Amino acid sequence: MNYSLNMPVVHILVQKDWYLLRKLIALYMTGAFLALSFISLGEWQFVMGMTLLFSMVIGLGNHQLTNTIINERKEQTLPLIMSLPISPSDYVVAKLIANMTLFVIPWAVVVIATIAVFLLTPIPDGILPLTIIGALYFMLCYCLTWSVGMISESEGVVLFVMVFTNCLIGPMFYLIFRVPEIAQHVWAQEPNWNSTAIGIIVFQLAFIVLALVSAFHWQARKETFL
Amino acid sequence: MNSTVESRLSETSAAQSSEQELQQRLHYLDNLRALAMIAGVFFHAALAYSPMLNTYWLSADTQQSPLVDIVGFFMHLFRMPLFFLIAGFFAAYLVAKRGMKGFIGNRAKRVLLPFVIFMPLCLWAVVAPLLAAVHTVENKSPVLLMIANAFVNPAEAPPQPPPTTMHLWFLYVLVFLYFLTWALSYLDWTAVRGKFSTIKPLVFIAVVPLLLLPGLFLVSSPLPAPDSFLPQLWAFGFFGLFFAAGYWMFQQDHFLEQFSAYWVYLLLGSIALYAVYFQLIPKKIIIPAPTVELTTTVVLKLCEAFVAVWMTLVCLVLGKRFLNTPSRSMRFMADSSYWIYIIHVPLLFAIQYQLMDLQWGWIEKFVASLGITLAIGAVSYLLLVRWTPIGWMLNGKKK
Repeated sequence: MNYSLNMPVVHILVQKDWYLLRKLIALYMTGAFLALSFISLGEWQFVMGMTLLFSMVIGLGNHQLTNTIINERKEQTLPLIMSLPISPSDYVVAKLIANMTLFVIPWAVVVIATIAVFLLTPIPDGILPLTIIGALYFMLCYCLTWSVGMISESEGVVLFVMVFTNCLIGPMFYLIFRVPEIAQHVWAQEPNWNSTAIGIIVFQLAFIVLALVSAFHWQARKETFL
Repeated sequence: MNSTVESRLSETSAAQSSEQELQQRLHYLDNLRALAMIAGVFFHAALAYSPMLNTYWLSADTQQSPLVDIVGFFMHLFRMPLFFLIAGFFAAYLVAKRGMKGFIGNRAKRVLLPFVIFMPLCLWAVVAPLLAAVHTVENKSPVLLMIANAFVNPAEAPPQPPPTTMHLWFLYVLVFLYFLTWALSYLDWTAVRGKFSTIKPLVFIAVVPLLLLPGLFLVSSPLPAPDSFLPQLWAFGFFGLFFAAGYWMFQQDHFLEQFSAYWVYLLLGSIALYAVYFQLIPKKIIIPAPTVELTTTVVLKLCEAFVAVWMTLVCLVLGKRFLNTPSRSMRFMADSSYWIYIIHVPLLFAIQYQLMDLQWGWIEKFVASLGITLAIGAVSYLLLVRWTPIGWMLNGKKK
């Protein structure tokens, strides 16, 4: 099997998605910025700002997946792409680069800003492991939805995964708070990177890699788009 | 064919003449921006002799005068608003001239890069003389005394303050405003712009300051510097609106002419409002600010909003009248002001620590510290900055 990619076309496809999503990114980044500037106003504003901040990350992920994967099929952009000299693997690589850069960069900015806030303000740094776990969960949801979108190419299935993973945010934090090794150290002055916290993070990272590899594996087996 | 060539030629000559017209329009804004920055050096130099800030200013002197507070905090109400309005104007100019991509690249080089480079350097340059002053100065300021006590008795040391962007906060805030300029450029502002363009001058004078109130109500009086690394919402509701006004003003060729007849009244009105304001603000700043009665807060915030807008208009009208001609000395000040502003705070502190034990009056100390700072700033600009990569980064290459 020949795995060489048609890089010039992949490059064009990535730029196409970046171009089409620039307004969306601007809108969500503005929302994230507004949320960030709320944080310093007080206690309830901190909670509101953090909620708004992560809502922006979730919204950005879901919105861009809808635009780049689902709408591409609905608006008949895919038939045009199919007419280009590319293989399904080229397509999945282009989607991976375009979507991941558009999500991972804003996600990383928000996560770094949040960590900086915790480190630079009197908020106890013990909350950091929980924050990283939460942030990685959002990343995991995004990667899972992306993979399901690439594999199923179905609007209904993608929407179901989006709703399902978002519904699990509350229970996920509830369960993590019930883990004594995490809960005991949340309000401590120093973060406690114990084996439980590290184990959860490693599990999340492994799940992210598995989701992405599955999409690649599935697409690599296809010889045509149909 | 000929008609195409002619129309292109006429377009080119129209573009050139409009560029020249624009350059003409920019002289006074360039000069006003430089004056706003140099006024910042005056303000910071004076704070060492301010009774209001004595408890918190590193180089607070035993010699003080209420005059410093009266003049300093009046300037404080409109100096940075004026600066942000001009920054907004130049942002619109850059977007029109170079497009959004060129604008982002230019601002990254002129604003973000200097912030990233000079922020740690300034921090080091403030801390090093501070640590020396703790041991050498006899008549210590309350902050120096506190640090000296913390050295002697570390167990009773107060908690470390969060890191700040210091006097370079304006660069940090500008970076966010440039980001918003890009993000909000995707929205259609025609209706808002149209509405503002039809506002009559007297309505503008009476109503537009009220737009600043939501931002101002989020912060205490007198206005602190938004020098936290965490974006401050009030700063965007206050300075951000001045920036937006400047951006909008770029397309309003005759906006300022409408206010030419009112500048005296605006000045007198601002002085009257400031008199009320100064009576109501605390005579000694305490952090965190104590709770103030709602009526007093409303009056204070109204005064801040109106003085900021009115005095900004006064500065623009007078600037356009008296500073709109090319001049070598003003050009030098405009070019060097950015560099001088960046380095002035560490220099001022280092000089004022040396003056703290001298038996001079506050005016002598103020003039000496200010004069030496400005002289070092100007000379270092000439020798180390103007023709070097630092100068290229701050102001672009000189032809």
